Amino acid sequence: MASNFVIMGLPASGKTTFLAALWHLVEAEETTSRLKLDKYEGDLSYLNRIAQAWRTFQKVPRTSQVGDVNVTIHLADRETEAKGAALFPDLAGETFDGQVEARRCRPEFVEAVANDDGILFFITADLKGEGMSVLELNSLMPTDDVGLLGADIAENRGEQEQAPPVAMDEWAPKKIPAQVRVVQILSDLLRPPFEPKLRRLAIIISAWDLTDGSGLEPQAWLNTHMPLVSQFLRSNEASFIYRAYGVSAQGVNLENRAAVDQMAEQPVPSRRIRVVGPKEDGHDLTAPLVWLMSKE
Amino acid sequence: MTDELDRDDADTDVFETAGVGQTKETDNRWVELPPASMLTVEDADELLRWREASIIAIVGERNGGKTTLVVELYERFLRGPFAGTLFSHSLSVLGFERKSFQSRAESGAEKPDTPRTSTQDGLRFFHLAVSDEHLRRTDLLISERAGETYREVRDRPAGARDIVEVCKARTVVFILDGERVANPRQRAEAIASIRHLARAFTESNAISSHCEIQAVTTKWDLLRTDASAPAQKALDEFEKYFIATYSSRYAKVSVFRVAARDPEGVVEVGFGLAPLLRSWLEPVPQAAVTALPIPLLADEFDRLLARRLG
Repeated sequence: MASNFVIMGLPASGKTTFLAALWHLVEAEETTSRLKLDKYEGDLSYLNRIAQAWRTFQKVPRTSQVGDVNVTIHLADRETEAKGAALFPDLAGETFDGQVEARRCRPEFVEAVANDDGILFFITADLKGEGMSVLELNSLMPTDDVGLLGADIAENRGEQEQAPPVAMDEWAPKKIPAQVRVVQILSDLLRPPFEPKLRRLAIIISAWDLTDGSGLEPQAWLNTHMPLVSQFLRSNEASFIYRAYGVSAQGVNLENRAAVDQMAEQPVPSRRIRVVGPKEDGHDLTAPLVWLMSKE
Repeated sequence: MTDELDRDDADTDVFETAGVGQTKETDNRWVELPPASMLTVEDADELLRWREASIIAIVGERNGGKTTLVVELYERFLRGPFAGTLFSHSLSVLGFERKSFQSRAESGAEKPDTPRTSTQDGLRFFHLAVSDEHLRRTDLLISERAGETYREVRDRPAGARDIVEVCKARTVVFILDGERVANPRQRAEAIASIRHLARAFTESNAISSHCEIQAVTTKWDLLRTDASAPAQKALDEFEKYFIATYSSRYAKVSVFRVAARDPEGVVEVGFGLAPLLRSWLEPVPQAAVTALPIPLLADEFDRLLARRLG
């Protein structure tokens, strides 16, 4: 097993937190995971630092703060006993923003994607409500109240006075909604300079704990909240074999001190992790990697 | 416990030896990616060299709602499958986004709008590929050109054959501005505009006989009330004229009424767009193959071949 995984995703989509939790999981062996750490060697400073932040409930520093980092983890499959090195070129999310906005990418990325055995594409479940139309926004406003309020204001101002003009924003590439960015980044893989081939793609929906209560499975979440991405993947089955996973690698909202205190009492840190997939619901963060390496 | 956490926050800096915050900006090696804005004629030609695509020419004078119609098609796919199809691909995502922005809440606009298409932009295309339930893909190249250019064709029909998107179209969509039809003082002129354009392109033989032509009335939200009965009657009559005049001339003639985006929010967004999109995806009418006259076969080898072929 010699596997090259490419990690892709927009800024703050949970890429580095995933790596931090994965490193802790396979190194600590507190819970059962299909893949285990095979060798503890090489330059582990980056992995140890991000895992330290993860273990101590600090925000895992984003890749953009230290530049692009290539990470190699030596893994072994407990079932097949296959061994190999998993390479994760951990590119900053800003790199992918630049790909959409400035229409350029790093040559290393083109090379990594040409040799990949699977892509981990991160999408955060922490959505910002982008892409809403003016009409959709207006329909949410209590029209009667607005009308009455507007009448009162007009009365107070006097009939001659006009409402101040509303400042309108100019379009810029940074205004593109996340789901459109994701589709653009995946679409780019279908054209030069990227090599056309059938790719295995694990869609990792991070911050999955935020979806608690929605009752949605990861694929259904994608259909509902990222419909353009879902349609694109379904209709490009000649280019992508994909599965959607919900991952809560942090396991807790770091802003919620009470929840952090409670989680810190958990004797097995690896149990902070939650992975939900088509066949999985547990703590094994290696499940998407196992699927990427499989023939399914 | 909270105090302990605070102390940890203060004491631990996991990147204190790693130069935190020093983003690597010295690496200037980049690979350029293909543009994702609207396609030029050259871009469209390049696409057509490796993939079949239907050209949909959207024709009409300024402010008729040509761009809004196309942009709202794209917006429907941002919300889910549309017209029984899935979004499959677009080479002009940034072009769609730029034209969509003024209809988005993020723009700060109180009412949705669409930026005007400038004459200086010349001819551009939106690219939209969709797949049906069997994942059969159809690519559309939808034209985008300023209405002033079509006004010139109306005034000088000799220029019709220079409008390349019409000459190469699978479907020519003549836009009838519903807002002007709703206005009694502008109604006759609005109808005259589409009538003249259809006539100019037809009489100059700019449109292939294998093409489908459509009269699409936009802003239907302004025409649907009882108060608009005279406008509706005029529209009914025009649509009958359009079908009767061109049915024998083209492979298919059809009429549609759409309200891509009712600013008042009364009519559902994208009203009438689904059947319009489906009509663009139907198989292109096949050209009739006319048997070419065979020249007199005087050569012995030709005659031998003719005998063997029976």
